[in-house]
Amino acid sequence: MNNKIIMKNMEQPGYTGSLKDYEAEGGYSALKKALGEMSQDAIIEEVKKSGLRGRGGAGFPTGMKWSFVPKDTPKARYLINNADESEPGTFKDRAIMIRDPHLTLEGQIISSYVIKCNVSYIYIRGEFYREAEILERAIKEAENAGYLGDNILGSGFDHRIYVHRGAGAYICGEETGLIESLEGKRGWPRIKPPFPALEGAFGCPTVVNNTETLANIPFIINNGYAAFASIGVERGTGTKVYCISGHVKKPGLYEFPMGITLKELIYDCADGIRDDNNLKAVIPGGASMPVLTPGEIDVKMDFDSLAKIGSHLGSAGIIVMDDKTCMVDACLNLSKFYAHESCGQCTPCREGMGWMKSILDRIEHGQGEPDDIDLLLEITNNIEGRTICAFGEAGAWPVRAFVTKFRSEFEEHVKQKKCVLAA
Amino acid sequence: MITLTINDSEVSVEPGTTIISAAEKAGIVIPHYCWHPALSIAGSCRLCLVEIEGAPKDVIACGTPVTEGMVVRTESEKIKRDREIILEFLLLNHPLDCPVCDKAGECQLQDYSFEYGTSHSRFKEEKRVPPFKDLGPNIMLATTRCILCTRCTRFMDEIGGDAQLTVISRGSNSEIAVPEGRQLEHPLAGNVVDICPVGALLDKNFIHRTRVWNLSRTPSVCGECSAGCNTYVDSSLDKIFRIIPRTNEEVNGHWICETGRYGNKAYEDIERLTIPKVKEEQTLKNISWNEAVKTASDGLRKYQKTKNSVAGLISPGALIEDAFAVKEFLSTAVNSSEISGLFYKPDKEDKSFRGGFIIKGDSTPNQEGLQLVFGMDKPDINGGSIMSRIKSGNIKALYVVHNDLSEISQSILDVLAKLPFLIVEDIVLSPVAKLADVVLPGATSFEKTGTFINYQKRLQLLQQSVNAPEGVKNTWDIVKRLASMQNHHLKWNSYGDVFMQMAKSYPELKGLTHFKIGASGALLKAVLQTAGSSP
Repeated sequence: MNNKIIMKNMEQPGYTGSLKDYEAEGGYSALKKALGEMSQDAIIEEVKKSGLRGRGGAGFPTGMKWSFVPKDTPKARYLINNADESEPGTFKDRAIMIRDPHLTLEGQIISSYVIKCNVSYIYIRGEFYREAEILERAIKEAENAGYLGDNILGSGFDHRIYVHRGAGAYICGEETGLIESLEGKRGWPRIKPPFPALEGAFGCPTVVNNTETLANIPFIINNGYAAFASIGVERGTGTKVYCISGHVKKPGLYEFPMGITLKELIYDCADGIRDDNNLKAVIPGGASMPVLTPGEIDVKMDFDSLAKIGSHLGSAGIIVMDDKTCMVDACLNLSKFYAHESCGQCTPCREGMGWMKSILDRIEHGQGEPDDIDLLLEITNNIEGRTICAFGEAGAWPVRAFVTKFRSEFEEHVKQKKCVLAA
Repeated sequence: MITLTINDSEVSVEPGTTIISAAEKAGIVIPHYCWHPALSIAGSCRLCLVEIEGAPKDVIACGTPVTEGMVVRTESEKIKRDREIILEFLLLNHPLDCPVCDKAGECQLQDYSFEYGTSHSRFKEEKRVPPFKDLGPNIMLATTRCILCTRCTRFMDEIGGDAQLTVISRGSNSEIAVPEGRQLEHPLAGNVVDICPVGALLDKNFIHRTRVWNLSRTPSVCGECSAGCNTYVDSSLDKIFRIIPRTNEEVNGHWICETGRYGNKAYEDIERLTIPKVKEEQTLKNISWNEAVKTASDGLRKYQKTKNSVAGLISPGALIEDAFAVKEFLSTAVNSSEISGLFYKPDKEDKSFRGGFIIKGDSTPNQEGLQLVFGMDKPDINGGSIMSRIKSGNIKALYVVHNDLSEISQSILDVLAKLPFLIVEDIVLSPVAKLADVVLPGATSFEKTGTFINYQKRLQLLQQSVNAPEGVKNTWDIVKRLASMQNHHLKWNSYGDVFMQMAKSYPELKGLTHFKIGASGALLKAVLQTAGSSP
C-alpha cells in the first residue's frame, strides 16, 4: 500500500524508530526546510490548504487552530502534544510513540516554530510508562543532534520539549482538562471562553494538537499541501490510521486514505468476523461515537460521511461486535466506563452517567422495567448540550445509539427479566 | 456600554459583564448554585442556563459575557425545562432529609426545587450514602447533601488563601474533603458554611439546636476588632444562636472571621451582674438601683466641687453614645471635662488574607469612635492622662464603663485601687468591678442599639439583638439617673436620642441619625469638609 504517511517508516522491516533510522528515511528534512526556508505564515497557509483536520476526535482544521494564536503577544506561547490516548478502541498514537517517536516530535517542533513557542509539552497518558521512556529517549537524541535546544539548526529558534505524564484520567484528554492537569491541578475542563488559543496553559496562548495530527506535519512540509490534499476525500484529506479491534480475525492498525469504507476495513483488512459469525454492531470512531448496524457499514470512513449518517469518525477506533454480543451488556460496559471517568465537575454528567449505568445494570441483570428504556433516552437528551465539555455527549451518544438501534433487544431483556444472550 | 435585551427589558452594562450580573441589574433573578459574586466562575452547577436568540445551545448566565444586541430569555419553556432537568439530577442522590437538616428553611435546594423543580422522582436506584465527615474543629460535612458546587473549595483558595478543601474522587463519587493529614482550621473557615447553598457544610456549634425559622435576624456590627465587620445576629427568645456575615463591600465583603462568628460564645456562660452593689466594710453588697444611684451620687458630690476632680474612663468596646452620655453627664452635672478611654496599643499586626479580608491588630471595635467623642487626634493609651492625674491626686472619683470582657491590666487596676471613690459599670464582677465602691450592672453591645466607628472612620449602626437580663440598665439611663440626683436633667430616652444630641455638637456627624446611617455605614468626612469651607 503506497500513500502511507504515518506508518510508512514503522512498517519497514528492521525499523527501530531511532534517530538514525528516522534520518535514514529522510527524517528531520521537513524541520530543516521549515526553519530554513519557510515563514510561520507560509507554514500555516500550507497546512490550511492541505486540509489537515485534527486526528484526536473532533476534526478541527489544524492550520486554523494555529492561526487563532495572537501574533503579537508579550506572553509565552505553549504547544501541547496530546498523547493522552484514552478513548476505548483507540491505539494509534501509542504505536507512533513506540515505533516512530521522532515523527511526532518533528511535527511538534515545526508546529511550535509556527506559533513561536519555545517550550512545548507531550502530555502522555499515565499508563503509557514505556512510551514516555521512549519519548524521553527520542527527545535526548533530538537534542544531541541539534533538532532541539538553543538555536536549532542555526535558525535562531530555541525549543525544548518536556514529557508530562498524566495520572490516569480519561478527561485529561479533553484539551482544557489536560491543561489544568499539566498545571498540576485536578483535571477539570474549563468553561469557555476563554479558549486555549488565547488563554491556555499558565494563562498563555496554547495550542493542543493530537500526536497523529502532529505526525502528519513533516509530510505536508516535505511534499507540499497538494500532495496531502490529493489523498483522501474532500474535507477529509490525507490518510487515517484506523484502529480495528473486537470480533475480527485480524485486529490492528491500518493506515488508508480517508474515505475507505468501513466494510472494506472490516472484511478486507481485518479479514472479517471471528469464526465467520455475522456482524451485529460496529462502533466507528472510539467508544463515544454512535454505534452502527450492519446495514450502515458501506459508509466511507471520513469526517463528513460518518456525520451524515449520525455518527462520527472520532478517533477512528473501530470496535466490531458479532452476533454473540449482547447489546445491553455492550452498552452497559461503555456506560460503566463513562460513569467511572466523569470528572464530577458539572451536574448533568456527574449525576447522569451514574444514573444511566445503574439503569443499564438493572436491565442487563433482569430487573429492568418497561419505562426504563425511554427514561434512558431521555437522560441522554438531558445531558447533551448542558455540560461544560464534550464528555457529556461522549457518554450520552453511545447509550442513545445502542438503545435506539437495538431497542428490541433491550425490550426483550425487560420482558424476559434476564439477559437474552447470556450463555 | 453594551445594550442587550433580557426578557423584553433593555439593559445597558459595562463590557465584560456576564449575563447573570446584567440580569441582576435589570431585577431579573437567575437561579444558581455555584456562582458567587466574590468567587471565580465555576460554571458547573448548570442551573443558570439561559437561552440566547440564535445560539445553538443554552449557555450559562454566570460565565457568558454579554454582547451588543444580545437577546436573552430566562423564563422560556425551554429554560424552565432546563431547570427541571438540572434539579432532577441534583436530587438523584440527595437524601431529602430536610426534616432533620439544619439548612431547612434557608436552603436553596429546597427553594429552587419548590420554585423550578418537579414534584416526583424517576430515580429507582439506591442512593449513594457516603458517610458524614468531620472536617475540623467547627465544621462538618453532611456528604450526602453536597451538590459539588465547589463554592467552599474556591473560597478557601481564593479568599482564605489556603486551599484546605478540595474535591476527591470522580463522577458521582466526587466528594469535598480536606487533604490527607490536614484539617479545615482557618480564621475564615466558617464562611464556607454560610456560602454552602445546601445543608452540606454545617457549623458544629449550630447543628440541631434550633430551626432557622424560629430565629430573629438583627443587623449588627462585630465588636471583636476595629475592622467593624457587618453581621447578622440570629437569636431566639433572647438567646443568640449564631452570628453570620452581612454583606458590605466597603468593609468585610461577604465574610467574617471565626473570632467574630463565635464572638457571642464568651458571653454565654458568664455570671451576669443584675443587681447593683455597694462596698460596705470592704465587701460588695447587693442593693437596689435607687440606693445604688444615691450612693454613687453622694460619693461624687464629695469631690465635684473642685473642677475636674471627677473623671470618666470608657472601654473602647462601648458605643460612642455611651462615651458621649458619660461625657455629657460629667460636664453638665459634676463639673468635669476629664474623660478618656481604655485605649490600648495593639500588640499584634493586622492580618490580611488573599481575598483582601482583614483582621485588625486592634481588637477593640471603637477606639476611633472614642477619639471622636473625646476630641483626640490619637489614642490616649491606657487612659494615660487620667491615670497620671489619679496618681497625682487631682482626680478623686472615677466613673468607669466596662461593659465587655476585655482585660484591664494590673498596672491600671493598681492605680484605680488608690481612688477615693470608684463607680464601675460592668456586665460581670470583673477585677475592676471588684475594686469599685459602687458596681452598676451594664448591658453588652448585643443588648443595645448604637454606633461604632471602625478603623476606616466609618460610622456603623449595630442594633439590639437580645434583651438585657432583668435588672441591667443602659449607660444613658444610668447617667441620666445620676444627673437627676444632682438636679440636672438629661433629656434623652434612648441611644437614638443620645446620638441626635451628639450629632448637633460634632460636625462630623452633622445631619446624621441612627436611621440615616444606612446599611453600609457612613464614612465620616474630615471636619473641615463637613463644615463646607470653600476651597
